[in-house]
Amino acid sequence: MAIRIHLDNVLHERRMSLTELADAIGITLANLSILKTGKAKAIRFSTLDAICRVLDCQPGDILAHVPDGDEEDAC
Amino acid sequence: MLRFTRTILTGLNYANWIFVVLFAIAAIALLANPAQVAEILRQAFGVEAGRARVICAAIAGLVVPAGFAAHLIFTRLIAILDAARAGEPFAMVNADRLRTVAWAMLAIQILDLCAGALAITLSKISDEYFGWSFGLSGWLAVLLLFVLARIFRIGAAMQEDLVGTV
Repeated sequence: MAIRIHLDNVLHERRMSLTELADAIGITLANLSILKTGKAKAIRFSTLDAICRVLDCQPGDILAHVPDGDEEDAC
Repeated sequence: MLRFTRTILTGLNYANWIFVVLFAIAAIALLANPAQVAEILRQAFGVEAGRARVICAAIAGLVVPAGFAAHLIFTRLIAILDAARAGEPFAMVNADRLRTVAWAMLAIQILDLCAGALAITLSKISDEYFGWSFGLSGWLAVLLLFVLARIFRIGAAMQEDLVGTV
Protein backbone atom coordinates (compact mmCIF):
# COMPACT_ATOMS: atom_id res chain seq x y z
CA MET A 1 0.00 0.00 0.00
CA ALA A 2 1.44 3.38 -1.05
CA ILE A 3 -0.57 5.23 1.62
CA ARG A 4 0.98 5.19 5.07
CA ILE A 5 -0.87 6.03 8.29
CA HIS A 6 0.83 8.15 10.95
CA LEU A 7 -2.00 7.98 13.47
CA ASP A 8 0.37 6.63 16.16
CA ASN A 9 2.65 9.70 15.92
CA VAL A 10 -0.24 12.17 16.15
CA LEU A 11 -1.82 10.26 19.05
CA HIS A 12 1.54 10.25 20.85
CA GLU A 13 1.92 14.02 20.35
CA ARG A 14 -1.62 14.58 21.73
CA ARG A 15 -0.99 12.14 24.63
CA MET A 16 -4.11 10.26 23.63
CA SER A 17 -4.76 6.51 23.47
CA LEU A 18 -6.42 4.72 20.58
CA THR A 19 -9.33 3.78 22.87
CA GLU A 20 -9.89 7.43 23.82
CA LEU A 21 -9.86 8.44 20.15
CA ALA A 22 -12.29 5.64 19.28
CA ASP A 23 -14.68 6.84 22.00
CA ALA A 24 -14.31 10.48 20.93
CA ILE A 25 -15.08 9.91 17.23
CA GLY A 26 -17.63 7.15 17.76
CA ILE A 27 -16.16 4.27 15.78
CA THR A 28 -15.14 0.90 17.15
CA LEU A 29 -11.64 0.28 18.48
CA ALA A 30 -11.36 -2.67 16.10
CA ASN A 31 -12.02 -0.46 13.05
CA LEU A 32 -9.67 2.25 14.29
CA SER A 33 -7.00 -0.39 14.87
CA ILE A 34 -7.45 -1.57 11.24
CA LEU A 35 -6.86 2.03 10.14
CA LYS A 36 -3.85 2.49 12.41
CA THR A 37 -2.12 -0.68 11.23
CA GLY A 38 -2.62 0.30 7.56
CA LYS A 39 -4.93 -2.65 6.84
CA ALA A 40 -7.91 -0.48 5.83
CA LYS A 41 -8.77 -0.37 2.12
CA ALA A 42 -10.54 3.00 2.35
CA ILE A 43 -11.41 5.73 4.81
CA ARG A 44 -14.70 7.64 4.84
CA PHE A 45 -14.53 11.44 4.74
CA SER A 46 -16.76 11.44 7.84
CA THR A 47 -14.20 9.32 9.73
CA LEU A 48 -11.32 11.52 8.54
CA ASP A 49 -13.26 14.63 9.50
CA ALA A 50 -13.95 13.27 13.00
CA ILE A 51 -10.31 12.24 13.53
CA CYS A 52 -9.01 15.66 12.36
CA ARG A 53 -11.55 17.46 14.55
CA VAL A 54 -10.68 15.49 17.70
CA LEU A 55 -6.91 15.50 17.14
CA ASP A 56 -6.92 19.09 15.82
CA CYS A 57 -4.84 18.18 12.80
CA GLN A 58 -4.93 18.04 9.00
CA PRO A 59 -5.45 14.87 6.89
CA GLY A 60 -1.82 15.21 5.77
CA ASP A 61 -0.69 14.78 9.37
CA ILE A 62 -2.28 11.32 9.45
CA LEU A 63 -1.93 10.15 5.85
CA ALA A 64 1.18 10.18 3.68
CA HIS A 65 1.78 8.92 0.17
CA VAL A 66 4.91 6.83 -0.28
CA PRO A 67 5.81 5.89 -3.89
CA ASP A 68 5.88 2.08 -4.28
CA GLY A 69 9.65 1.94 -4.83
CA ASP A 70 10.36 3.97 -1.69
CA GLU A 71 7.99 2.00 0.52
CA GLU A 72 10.52 -0.66 1.53
CA ASP A 73 13.16 2.00 2.22
CA ALA A 74 10.73 3.84 4.48
CA CYS A 75 10.01 0.70 6.56
CA MET B 1 -38.68 -18.65 4.00
CA LEU B 2 -35.05 -19.42 3.10
CA ARG B 3 -35.19 -22.59 5.18
CA PHE B 4 -38.41 -23.66 3.46
CA THR B 5 -36.89 -22.98 0.02
CA ARG B 6 -33.80 -24.98 1.02
CA THR B 7 -35.99 -27.94 1.98
CA ILE B 8 -37.84 -27.72 -1.36
CA LEU B 9 -34.55 -27.61 -3.33
CA THR B 10 -33.12 -30.56 -1.39
CA GLY B 11 -36.32 -32.54 -2.10
CA LEU B 12 -36.16 -31.60 -5.78
CA ASN B 13 -32.57 -32.79 -5.98
CA TYR B 14 -33.52 -36.18 -4.52
CA ALA B 15 -36.40 -36.38 -7.03
CA ASN B 16 -33.94 -35.42 -9.79
CA TRP B 17 -31.65 -38.36 -8.97
CA ILE B 18 -34.61 -40.76 -8.79
CA PHE B 19 -35.59 -39.64 -12.32
CA VAL B 20 -31.99 -39.98 -13.52
CA VAL B 21 -31.81 -43.57 -12.25
CA LEU B 22 -35.22 -44.45 -13.75
CA PHE B 23 -34.34 -42.97 -17.15
CA ALA B 24 -30.91 -44.62 -17.10
CA ILE B 25 -32.61 -47.97 -16.46
CA ALA B 26 -35.04 -47.21 -19.31
CA ALA B 27 -32.16 -46.38 -21.67
CA ILE B 28 -30.32 -49.57 -20.76
CA ALA B 29 -33.52 -51.61 -21.15
CA LEU B 30 -34.11 -50.12 -24.61
CA LEU B 31 -30.53 -50.81 -25.69
CA ALA B 32 -30.64 -54.38 -24.29
CA ASN B 33 -33.92 -54.86 -26.22
CA PRO B 34 -35.50 -57.74 -24.31
CA ALA B 35 -38.46 -59.54 -25.92
CA GLN B 36 -41.14 -57.55 -24.01
CA VAL B 37 -39.62 -54.18 -25.02
CA ALA B 38 -39.18 -55.35 -28.64
CA GLU B 39 -42.82 -56.38 -28.78
CA ILE B 40 -44.08 -53.04 -27.38
CA LEU B 41 -41.92 -51.12 -29.87
CA ARG B 42 -43.05 -53.33 -32.76
CA GLN B 43 -46.71 -52.66 -31.92
CA ALA B 44 -46.11 -48.91 -31.62
CA PHE B 45 -43.73 -48.29 -34.51
CA GLY B 46 -44.12 -51.30 -36.81
CA VAL B 47 -41.25 -51.60 -39.29
CA GLU B 48 -39.49 -48.54 -37.79
CA ALA B 49 -39.25 -50.24 -34.36
CA GLY B 50 -35.45 -50.59 -34.60
CA ARG B 51 -34.88 -46.89 -35.32
CA ALA B 52 -37.48 -45.86 -32.73
CA ARG B 53 -35.73 -47.99 -30.11
CA VAL B 54 -32.41 -46.20 -30.65
CA ILE B 55 -34.10 -42.76 -30.59
CA CYS B 56 -36.05 -43.57 -27.40
CA ALA B 57 -32.84 -44.85 -25.78
CA ALA B 58 -31.05 -41.64 -26.78
CA ILE B 59 -33.84 -39.45 -25.33
CA ALA B 60 -33.79 -41.44 -22.08
CA GLY B 61 -29.98 -41.25 -22.07
CA LEU B 62 -30.08 -37.45 -22.40
CA VAL B 63 -31.79 -37.29 -19.00
CA VAL B 64 -28.56 -38.50 -17.32
CA PRO B 65 -26.37 -35.47 -18.24
CA ALA B 66 -29.39 -33.20 -17.69
CA GLY B 67 -29.69 -34.72 -14.22
CA PHE B 68 -26.04 -33.92 -13.48
CA ALA B 69 -26.65 -30.33 -14.62
CA ALA B 70 -29.78 -30.12 -12.46
CA HIS B 71 -27.75 -31.47 -9.52
CA LEU B 72 -25.25 -28.62 -10.04
CA ILE B 73 -28.12 -26.10 -10.08
CA PHE B 74 -29.78 -27.44 -6.92
CA THR B 75 -26.57 -27.83 -4.88
CA ARG B 76 -25.25 -24.38 -5.86
CA LEU B 77 -28.60 -22.72 -5.09
CA ILE B 78 -28.64 -24.47 -1.69
CA ALA B 79 -25.11 -23.21 -1.01
CA ILE B 80 -26.15 -19.64 -1.98
CA LEU B 81 -29.18 -19.91 0.35
CA ASP B 82 -26.92 -21.12 3.18
CA ALA B 83 -24.63 -18.12 2.61
CA ALA B 84 -27.66 -15.79 2.65
CA ARG B 85 -28.87 -17.36 5.90
CA ALA B 86 -25.39 -16.81 7.37
CA GLY B 87 -25.69 -13.11 6.40
CA GLU B 88 -23.01 -13.18 3.69
CA PRO B 89 -24.79 -13.43 0.33
CA PHE B 90 -22.53 -11.01 -1.59
CA ALA B 91 -19.36 -13.08 -1.76
CA MET B 92 -17.20 -14.00 -4.75
CA VAL B 93 -17.88 -17.69 -4.12
CA ASN B 94 -21.62 -17.03 -4.58
CA ALA B 95 -20.95 -15.20 -7.86
CA ASP B 96 -19.04 -18.29 -9.02
CA ARG B 97 -21.92 -20.52 -7.90
CA LEU B 98 -24.44 -18.43 -9.82
CA ARG B 99 -22.25 -18.62 -12.93
CA THR B 100 -22.11 -22.42 -12.52
CA VAL B 101 -25.93 -22.43 -12.33
CA ALA B 102 -26.02 -20.38 -15.56
CA TRP B 103 -23.69 -22.84 -17.39
CA ALA B 104 -25.70 -25.81 -16.08
CA MET B 105 -28.93 -24.16 -17.26
CA LEU B 106 -27.32 -23.58 -20.69
CA ALA B 107 -26.34 -27.28 -20.81
CA ILE B 108 -29.93 -28.26 -20.01
CA GLN B 109 -31.24 -26.00 -22.79
CA ILE B 110 -28.84 -27.55 -25.32
CA LEU B 111 -29.83 -31.06 -24.17
CA ASP B 112 -33.47 -29.99 -24.53
CA LEU B 113 -32.79 -29.01 -28.16
CA CYS B 114 -31.21 -32.42 -28.78
CA ALA B 115 -34.19 -34.15 -27.15
CA GLY B 116 -36.48 -32.00 -29.30
CA ALA B 117 -34.71 -33.00 -32.52
CA LEU B 118 -35.00 -36.67 -31.52
CA ALA B 119 -38.68 -36.25 -30.56
CA ILE B 120 -39.45 -34.64 -33.94
CA THR B 121 -37.71 -37.54 -35.73
CA LEU B 122 -39.73 -39.98 -33.63
CA SER B 123 -42.94 -38.11 -34.49
CA LYS B 124 -42.11 -38.31 -38.21
CA ILE B 125 -41.48 -42.06 -38.24
CA SER B 126 -44.52 -42.89 -36.09
CA ASP B 127 -46.99 -40.20 -37.22
CA GLU B 128 -47.67 -39.46 -33.56
CA TYR B 129 -46.94 -36.19 -31.79
CA PHE B 130 -44.33 -36.68 -29.05
CA GLY B 131 -44.90 -33.37 -27.33
CA TRP B 132 -41.89 -31.14 -27.75
CA SER B 133 -41.95 -27.47 -28.63
CA PHE B 134 -39.29 -24.79 -28.60
CA GLY B 135 -39.50 -22.44 -25.61
CA LEU B 136 -37.76 -19.09 -25.15
CA SER B 137 -38.19 -18.89 -21.38
CA GLY B 138 -35.32 -21.29 -20.64
CA TRP B 139 -32.93 -19.37 -22.90
CA LEU B 140 -34.01 -16.08 -21.29
CA ALA B 141 -33.35 -17.66 -17.88
CA VAL B 142 -29.82 -18.54 -19.04
CA LEU B 143 -29.20 -14.91 -20.09
CA LEU B 144 -30.69 -13.62 -16.85
CA LEU B 145 -28.50 -15.96 -14.78
CA PHE B 146 -25.29 -14.88 -16.55
CA VAL B 147 -26.26 -11.20 -16.01
CA LEU B 148 -27.11 -11.87 -12.35
CA ALA B 149 -23.80 -13.70 -11.85
CA ARG B 150 -21.97 -10.66 -13.22
CA ILE B 151 -23.97 -8.32 -10.97
CA PHE B 152 -23.23 -10.60 -8.00
CA ARG B 153 -19.51 -10.43 -8.82
CA ILE B 154 -19.61 -6.61 -8.83
CA GLY B 155 -21.68 -6.64 -5.62
CA ALA B 156 -19.17 -8.98 -3.96
CA ALA B 157 -16.27 -6.69 -4.97
CA MET B 158 -18.16 -3.70 -3.50
CA GLN B 159 -18.86 -5.68 -0.33
CA GLU B 160 -15.15 -6.54 -0.01
CA ASP B 161 -14.30 -2.85 -0.37
CA LEU B 162 -16.90 -1.94 2.22
CA VAL B 163 -15.49 -4.45 4.70
CA GLY B 164 -12.10 -2.71 4.46
CA THR B 165 -13.60 0.77 4.77
CA VAL B 166 -13.16 2.57 8.09
